Amino acid sequence: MAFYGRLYGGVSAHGADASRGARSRAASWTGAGVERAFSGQVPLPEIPTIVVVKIAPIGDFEVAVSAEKVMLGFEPAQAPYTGAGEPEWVRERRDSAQAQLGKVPFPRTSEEIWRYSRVEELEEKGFSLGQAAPTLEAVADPPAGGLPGGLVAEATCLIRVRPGTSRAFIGASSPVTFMPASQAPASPREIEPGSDFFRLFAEAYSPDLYVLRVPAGADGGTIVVAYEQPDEDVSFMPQLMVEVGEAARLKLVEYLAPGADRTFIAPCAEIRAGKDAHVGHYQIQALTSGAYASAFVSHALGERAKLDFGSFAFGGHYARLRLEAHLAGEGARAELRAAYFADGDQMLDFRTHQDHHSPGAYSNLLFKGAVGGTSHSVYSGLVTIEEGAVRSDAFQTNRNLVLSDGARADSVPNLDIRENSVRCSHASAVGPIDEELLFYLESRGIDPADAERIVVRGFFGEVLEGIDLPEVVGLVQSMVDARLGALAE
Amino acid sequence: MSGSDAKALRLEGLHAEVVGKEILHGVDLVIRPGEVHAIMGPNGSGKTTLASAVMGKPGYKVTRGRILVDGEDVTGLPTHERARKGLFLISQYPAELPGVSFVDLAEQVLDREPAVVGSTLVAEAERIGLKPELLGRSVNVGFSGGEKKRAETMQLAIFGARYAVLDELDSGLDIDALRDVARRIAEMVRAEGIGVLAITHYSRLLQELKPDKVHVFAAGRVVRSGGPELAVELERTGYGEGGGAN
Repeated sequence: MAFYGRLYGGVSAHGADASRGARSRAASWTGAGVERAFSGQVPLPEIPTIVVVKIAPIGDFEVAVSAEKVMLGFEPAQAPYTGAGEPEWVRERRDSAQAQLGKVPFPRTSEEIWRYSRVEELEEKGFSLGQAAPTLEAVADPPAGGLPGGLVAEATCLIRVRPGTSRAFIGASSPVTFMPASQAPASPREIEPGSDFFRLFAEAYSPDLYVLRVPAGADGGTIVVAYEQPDEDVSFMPQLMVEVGEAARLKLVEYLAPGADRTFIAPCAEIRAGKDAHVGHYQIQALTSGAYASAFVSHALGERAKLDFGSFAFGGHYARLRLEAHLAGEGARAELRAAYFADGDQMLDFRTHQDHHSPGAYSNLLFKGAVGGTSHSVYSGLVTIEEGAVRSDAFQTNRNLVLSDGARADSVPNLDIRENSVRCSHASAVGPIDEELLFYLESRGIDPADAERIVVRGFFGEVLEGIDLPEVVGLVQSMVDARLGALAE
Repeated sequence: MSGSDAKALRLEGLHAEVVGKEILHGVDLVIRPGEVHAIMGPNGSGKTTLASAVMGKPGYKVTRGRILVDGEDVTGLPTHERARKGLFLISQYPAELPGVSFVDLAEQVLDREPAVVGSTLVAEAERIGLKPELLGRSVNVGFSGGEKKRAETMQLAIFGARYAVLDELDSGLDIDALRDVARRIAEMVRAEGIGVLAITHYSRLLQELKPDKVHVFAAGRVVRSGGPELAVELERTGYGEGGGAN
């Protein structure tokens, strides 16, 4: 289509009946390279060794401690959180993650899934790890101060999570439960052990693990969870395990609040939606311009479960989202959307996986981004259709507007199809604003700056269509407008 | 009434080039309020270049000559200022604007209260035969050819244009839609005195939108001018040495 100038990747194999074995070359999502590098297993020491970033350990030791070394430069006297008093299931989860971490080295940009990322800067900077055991304060009124009004207006439950503490307002008639994992007697079922480094790291060492449950058949309303990191130089890895019971409903809004400028936040959300459950999940990333973020979101959808996911990312010096949608149950449906807008020297990084392993499931991804200044965005997505997932519909679209000469957007869609009779397409586009659209608006008497604003707003408007949270949509629109205003100056 | 100060859209010796190649070789036209002028000519004769150059589309460079709106030289003005002087273009293939509704667009252009804008749009949509539920949808996205031209005509009616350039208004729409938009434009000519420059290569449009003058366009200039009877003759005989009427 003539809409955007430059096209990347395999463009639009629309509606094609893909046959078995027809696969485009996917990036190394499985981390095969990682396993090769660590083929000689090296056991982890029982107590994680404490290392300062810049120290270069030697020999076997180097491999063994590589996971901790990362991180981000613990202070020499500081031990990672070990979760004293946590229930057995949390302890097991930590042990398992620690064992896996031994095989997953700190990310390098030489790996395809970290290509273009700024993950190596994290290592240079060094962030210490939070230590405080999480506590929960139940409050009678929404702890709204300082949060965008739109979020507060939508919330039936409002939870503010800071390192070590959370304050939760749970509406009087709300059926949901929210608690630190230390108080959760039973383990939420884990979705799928992943190899994502920061997810594993959080599982192994982060104190801030919370469990949110919506019982079967209940309507959980709209839960707003705000993550706030007020402290410089400390990493914050809040983990939220969510269980939405059979035929239950939930709208979950995660808000990554501006917080400290020199910080690293790695929120992990794992959401399991039972049979016939309906989940809306929206993540608004409003970090300050110096922050680093690596978010991990994983959804497992049961039979006929429906998911509407949206990522709206604006802040951070380097901010990444890894999104996994596992269509596990027959007839599960997922709409996956994102609107992102980078400026200055920001880098926004998106990696997605639509994983079909049941018949008759549907997933539709639409990620749209804009880059101004000397910013950079990356979209890299994979659709896999496993054997047996007949009658799958999977679509993947990424479009990017490049608003200045110094900005750059990369778009890499991939399909891996191992089943017949499926409908799959992927499309991607990178280019400047279409001159025809600007001319059309200008020929109606609209000046060029307004015309550009209208086109960009409209570009993102498509992503926001159909989201049933008007205040959240309004907030995202105002964030787009603020970005456009900043570009105009 | 003569002279360049008179109320008119006036093209004087207009030369224009596209990517360095001269397409218009001196076009002279005077369209007064309440007049309909038809430009007829074969494909490739420069008709769309004429429309684009008048509206100041990027890539269409006027190298000599002038464009005057009611005596004011707009040749050097950017597109949006030409529009504010009263020029309005309906392109052969109107652009589609994802995520921008007619309501958004009209609120931006008209700078009036949303309620007024809304009722103005609905009234005009009904008049032109455009389903009002389309007003909240993205401009032209997923529209049929007829819906697009009805929607463009609706904008012409409410955005206060004084001179309309219609580039092949009759392409891509059915007989009913063509009749409806042509009649609506003819009404605007009569009632509001807009001037119209209608570019076409079929005479069908002109049966509803009765032209005062017909100009034959070939190789980037007007080669012959006459009354409405010229359109009838062209339909019968073709464009002569400039090529067939295809």
